[in-house]
Amino acid sequence: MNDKQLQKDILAELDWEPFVNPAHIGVSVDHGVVTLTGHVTSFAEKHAAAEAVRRVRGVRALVQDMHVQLTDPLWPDDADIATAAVARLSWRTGIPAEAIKVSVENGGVMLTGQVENHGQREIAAAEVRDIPGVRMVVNALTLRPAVVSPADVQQRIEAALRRNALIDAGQVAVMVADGVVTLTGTVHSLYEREAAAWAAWSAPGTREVLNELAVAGD
Amino acid sequence: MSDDKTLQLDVMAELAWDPHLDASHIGVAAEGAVVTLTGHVTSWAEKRAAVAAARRVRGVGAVANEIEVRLPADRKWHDDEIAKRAVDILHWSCPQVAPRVKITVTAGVLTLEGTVEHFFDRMEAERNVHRLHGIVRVDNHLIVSSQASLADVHDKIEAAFRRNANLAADHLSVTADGPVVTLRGRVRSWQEHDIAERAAWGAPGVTEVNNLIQVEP
Repeated sequence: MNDKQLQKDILAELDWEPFVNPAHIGVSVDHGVVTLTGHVTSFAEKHAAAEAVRRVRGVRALVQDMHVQLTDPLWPDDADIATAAVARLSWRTGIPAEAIKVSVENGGVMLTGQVENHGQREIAAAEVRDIPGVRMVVNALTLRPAVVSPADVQQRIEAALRRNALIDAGQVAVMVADGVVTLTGTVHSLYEREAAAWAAWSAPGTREVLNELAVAGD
Repeated sequence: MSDDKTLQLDVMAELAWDPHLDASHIGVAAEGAVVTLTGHVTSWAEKRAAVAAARRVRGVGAVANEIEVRLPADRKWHDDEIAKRAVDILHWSCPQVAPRVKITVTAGVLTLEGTVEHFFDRMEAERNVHRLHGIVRVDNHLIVSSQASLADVHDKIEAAFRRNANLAADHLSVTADGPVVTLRGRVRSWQEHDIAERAAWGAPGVTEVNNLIQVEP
């Protein structure tokens, strides 16, 4: 697929995506690497735009250069955002809200503290993303350390990759050293690439994932 | 090891990892491609997460969900408190839709009522409230009433399928009966099944998406 067609498809997908208004978004494509520029009106919209681009066939990587331009001059102040963030985190199931600290500065939300696994870390960030007035989320949550042998970690990740219905596990190589997991190989889409990283995080003992998987070009 | 045993162990492993749920009281049985989940969890969100987790596993064709939701004994959340939280969440997450949605909570069952303009609004409202503590079930009675033109709905959804890196559009079909869209075809995974459904959300004027796509692992 050529870059021009891909650009067209991306613009069509951004227009199609219910939670994005593409009016002020710029899309440039270079050999399947997409750069988004311009602005949107909320951090949630910025996230939705990135997800939309990642779905499009032919996209190999995404560079995010959009900024959030809040439209409402009476946007919630930092204290309101912090209150909403703390409330959202404590009201829902699946995360140890009491272990998470929220700080807000100029619409930028930072999460600190320690949670049990990467999934909880992601859930916490997703929970505060939607709050009106949020421009950015910095997820500085750390993981509770687990003492597991590298061979164990590797085995569990390979098992997680194999059992995932969407991932072609034979194309993904896993290397583990000191809690750092490196994934290499080629996958068919960004979705598969992210699903593989998610599987890598599933092993207790994973401290970091270096995702060097390439997305196949045409 | 038999295929059934392998599938059972794989589903249990996937449930154990899932950060959205505590799987310690969930039982898994596998027969052919059919997985049955039993036991109990402490929230509606976990019950749904269990099905989603099982569906991610290679080889799973259908999931029978017999999990019971048992709220924790030291239940700290009263119905009116949950309802108020749900209202707040909607105001934060979907401010345009929130005023049109009426929320009631009775014995932990959260009901959504009202009329919204888009099919995706109906789904988003539910998604935003379903993870609150203390919910046993969500009954979504939101009605979609759209004024948008239905021109070319079929072609537009097919184009969305073709653009999508994760779908084999040739194996999918779309029929539109007025504002009700039905998706059919065959996919190899539940992930693709759900991606196709999500891809139909962008269609203007659609009030319902019937996902009859078959998953054949």
